[in-house]
Amino acid sequence: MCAQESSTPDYTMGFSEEFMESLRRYTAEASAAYLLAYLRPGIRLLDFGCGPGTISVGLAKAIDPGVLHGVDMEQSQVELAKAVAAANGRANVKFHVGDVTSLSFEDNFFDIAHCHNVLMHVPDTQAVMSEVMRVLKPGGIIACREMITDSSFTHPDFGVIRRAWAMFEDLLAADDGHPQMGKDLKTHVIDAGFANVRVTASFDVYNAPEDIDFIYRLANQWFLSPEITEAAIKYGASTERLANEIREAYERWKEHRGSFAALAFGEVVANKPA
Amino acid sequence: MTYQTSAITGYTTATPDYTMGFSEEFLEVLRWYTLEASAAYLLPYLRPGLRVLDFGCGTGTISVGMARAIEPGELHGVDMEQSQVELARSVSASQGRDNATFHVGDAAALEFPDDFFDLAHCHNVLMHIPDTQAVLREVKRVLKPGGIIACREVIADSCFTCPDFGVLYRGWNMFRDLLAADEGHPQMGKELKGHIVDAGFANLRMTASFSVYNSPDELDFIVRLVERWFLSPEITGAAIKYGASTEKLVSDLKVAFEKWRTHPGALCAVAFGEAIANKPA
Repeated sequence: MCAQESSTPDYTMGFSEEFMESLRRYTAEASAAYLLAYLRPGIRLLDFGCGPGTISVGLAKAIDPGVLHGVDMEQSQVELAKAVAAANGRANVKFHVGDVTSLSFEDNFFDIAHCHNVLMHVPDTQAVMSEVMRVLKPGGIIACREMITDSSFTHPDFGVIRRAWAMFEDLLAADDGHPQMGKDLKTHVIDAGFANVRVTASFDVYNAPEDIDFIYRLANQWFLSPEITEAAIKYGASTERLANEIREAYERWKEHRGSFAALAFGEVVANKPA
Repeated sequence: MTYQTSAITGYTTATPDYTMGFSEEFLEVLRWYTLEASAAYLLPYLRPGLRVLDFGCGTGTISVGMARAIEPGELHGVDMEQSQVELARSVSASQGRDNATFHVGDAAALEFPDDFFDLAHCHNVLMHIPDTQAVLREVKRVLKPGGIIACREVIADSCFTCPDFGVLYRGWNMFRDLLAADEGHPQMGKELKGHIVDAGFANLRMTASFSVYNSPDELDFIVRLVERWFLSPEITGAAIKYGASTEKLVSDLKVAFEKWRTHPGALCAVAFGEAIANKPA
């Protein structure tokens, strides 16, 4: 249902320039702060669903001379990740096209396996968890940060913008995704047999004028683009009228003195039993 | 100060607008609110020698942490509740704090001169006060030019309990509607930016955070809080009276919490908005 060619029919989000800008804002410091305390030089790290590799390169820097392997289903994302790594002068990274439910690594291979907003898009959570469990060393760490759309907000809302969040949720769910994955991480990692589960939660906040402008552009040029809107209407997640109301609400929001947006995430760190 | 019985909770309090009551379990909540846990966003702004106001200081658990960080500066805590002020004095004395002074008073009518404080802080206070601008104006008056206001307030709509069993979110809705019935502001954490801009503060920095309850002792705390405070007859009676709940919902919530407390994936998260801004120089 993406306008662009995509190797996975379950990845709803598409790859517009504005969406790519949102991924470029995801650095290791901004998006994996909960994990930084666990990174040590020399460890071997898997970044499953690495996307354009912006978090990967930050993680790789922290584990140098250890090696980071990034895996993504999308050839285009893997190429971007390689370019990002080259631009950062990162020699201790390897990016692979691959499926996170069927990884081409041997058993007991990694010290840490990390993902960010990946499980929300994959229909079978336990299939990923068991594969990650397999490639982790005994005692190795799984670390996941995933969205909680129910706790995310745009303020003021004008009684309309929350319906854009609902549209986003419906669109994800229509693709067998999990818009509240951040809440459910604890249950999933326990079900998969991980131990010593530590859960945190955090917000990415958009407040400064350039942040507000970023969200406004993201809403207009990606979320309210004809491609996404048409998909949402086709899947019963939106209507022409709602799309117009949301567009008008974002115009008002951008100019409002109190405008403020926050994306909510759940975070989990757990160990493969030793 | 006239003491009145809250129309909603039946608790005797100095302010009829304070819905939450003061059960032992509620006081335990306040003991979990330390400077490090509840005001991490503020830590970079605390320096030795500052004069700090903690308006709506409650039991003073955050206040004493701030007082330690600003020593030899002085901290003044103000709360409408005589009982809270007395607890705050005990907390402070037990920690050997001699640079913290606690006063019974109204955050909208403070007994301090103009331009007196370097920093004014509150935590979950504006959510309970009907007239936000009355408080912000008064805080601005007592701040020095360039002084800092720092507020952390709940965002009820972003809080969650997981697993939810299709029921527990309605407990959060009950909390929200009960606060609103008392002219409180259950989404104040989102609204801070607009209010602080309206009050004429500058250089506004917004953040947001969760307090997460995950470990067995943290979950025990939530279970006790729910049983003895949130689902107590006093609170549920008020909620039903004010249309924020029903007998059926209360009994559904009790059943769901029983399931929740023994679920391996049990998790509770309380969401907050945080604002730091300056009085114009």
